[in-house]
Amino acid sequence: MKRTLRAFTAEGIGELKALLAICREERKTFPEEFDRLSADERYTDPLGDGREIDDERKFSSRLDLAGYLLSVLGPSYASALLESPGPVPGTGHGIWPWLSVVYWRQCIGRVAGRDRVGAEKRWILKTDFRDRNYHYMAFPVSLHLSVADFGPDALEAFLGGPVSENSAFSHECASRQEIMQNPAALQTAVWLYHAKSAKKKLRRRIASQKDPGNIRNFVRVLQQFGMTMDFFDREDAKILWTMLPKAFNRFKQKRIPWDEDLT
Amino acid sequence: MPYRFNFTGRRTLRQSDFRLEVSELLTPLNTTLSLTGDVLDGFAGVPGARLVVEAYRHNEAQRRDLGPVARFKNGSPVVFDRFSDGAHVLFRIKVVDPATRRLLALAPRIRPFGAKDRGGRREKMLPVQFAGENDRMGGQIWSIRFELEHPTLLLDRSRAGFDYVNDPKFRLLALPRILRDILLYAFVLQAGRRPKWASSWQRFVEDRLGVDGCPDDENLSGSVLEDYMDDAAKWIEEAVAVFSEQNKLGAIAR
Repeated sequence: MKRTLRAFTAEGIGELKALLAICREERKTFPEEFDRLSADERYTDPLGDGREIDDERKFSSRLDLAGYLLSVLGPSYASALLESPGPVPGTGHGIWPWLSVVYWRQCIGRVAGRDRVGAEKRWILKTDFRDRNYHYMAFPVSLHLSVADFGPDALEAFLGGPVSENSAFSHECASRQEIMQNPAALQTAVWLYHAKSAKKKLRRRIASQKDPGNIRNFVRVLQQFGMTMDFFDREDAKILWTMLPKAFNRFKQKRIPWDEDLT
Repeated sequence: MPYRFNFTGRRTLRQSDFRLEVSELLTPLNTTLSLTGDVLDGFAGVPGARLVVEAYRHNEAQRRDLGPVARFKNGSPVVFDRFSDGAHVLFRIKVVDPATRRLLALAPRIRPFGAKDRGGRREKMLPVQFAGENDRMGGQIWSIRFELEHPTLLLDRSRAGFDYVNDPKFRLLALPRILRDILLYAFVLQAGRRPKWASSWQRFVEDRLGVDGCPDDENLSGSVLEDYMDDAAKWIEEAVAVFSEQNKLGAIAR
């Protein structure tokens, strides 16, 4: 069903916090409460320009979700909403928690047969640098805006997997300026860790701290190179790739990645 | 005492080696860079050494290659069109050898000149926001709200998807008008009781645009007031003309 976009007011965000607290305490969800909250005009404001979303849409992945939200909002407006200070200090624009509540069934995961509601920062966008990379709706949109120029492999690597899960790869990368600010580093990370045929579109054990060549190792290597070398353009990824230490060999495929990506 | 290895002979550029200034108007992020003679001379003899400036904020960065150090001209404008304003933006200056990718010199985490003067916080001269329910826009796509602390540029929320900052028509038609309206308000309408933010706009016109001649607004009455109004109007018109030239608005019109 099509619905006009709305945004939570300060009172709406308070109600959502209370609802999440009850869900966690009772260890179950209250479907009618989520549905009521997203439609309650006492706690939400219309967004003004009449844009609509399909609230019954099922998303196959976070990539599907981000692509859909960007098609509704448009990149410029989405960027402005991501930067907005919001109705409550530190919580961002009220549209992001409202969208999480509209699609709440897809946000909630299952652990040991029970619904897992997730932390508050997954529902209410925190503007704090460390916490903002958890939100169910805003984080995929923000990632899509950042990595879309790097092609479909990058989008898959960063946004593969279901809406309810935040991948270690996207979280680690997005919290590291060494990667996100540097196209050469970002391109190399995609070449190393993307796996087209895998279910979550990522190589296995990339976040494991025990295994060599994991994503944290990659950041440390970048920091070391950053003191002596200057890599920035996507073209520089070829040099960076060849300079990576042996620890990364298990992620280097036999093919040369730039034959496909940088043509 | 901590020790650091520096096997490649990388030089650290200090705050006294350069001066990076940011224009605070509503254009893409505009900076000007000057380097001291020591830096210019120090790398002039290194064949191929290039000067690079990177602006960054959160997870976003943009780089500008300013060419060989030997040919760099002090006061050169550097525009970062990925950033609409300079809030929270930091910079890196690098001297690099493009053949080997070696970093010859680095100045990391630069806060632009003037930022520390206000306790480390950069204050915007013209904050931009979408109009709220209480702002009467009457169909205009932009308007200015004059407040005690600063003027605020209001944009029509119903056109929120419109890329105001990068749209050439908006820049061509709106920017000179915004500057004129703000200067007219501060220096003509409020003559004799200028808002406290007027001084930063006066500095902007005098220092950045190079337009002197802002009249003094003390003891305004009779013919003194008439002269003041004439002088202020001329000063404002000259400021708007120079601003339009500097931002190459004429080229957009053609």
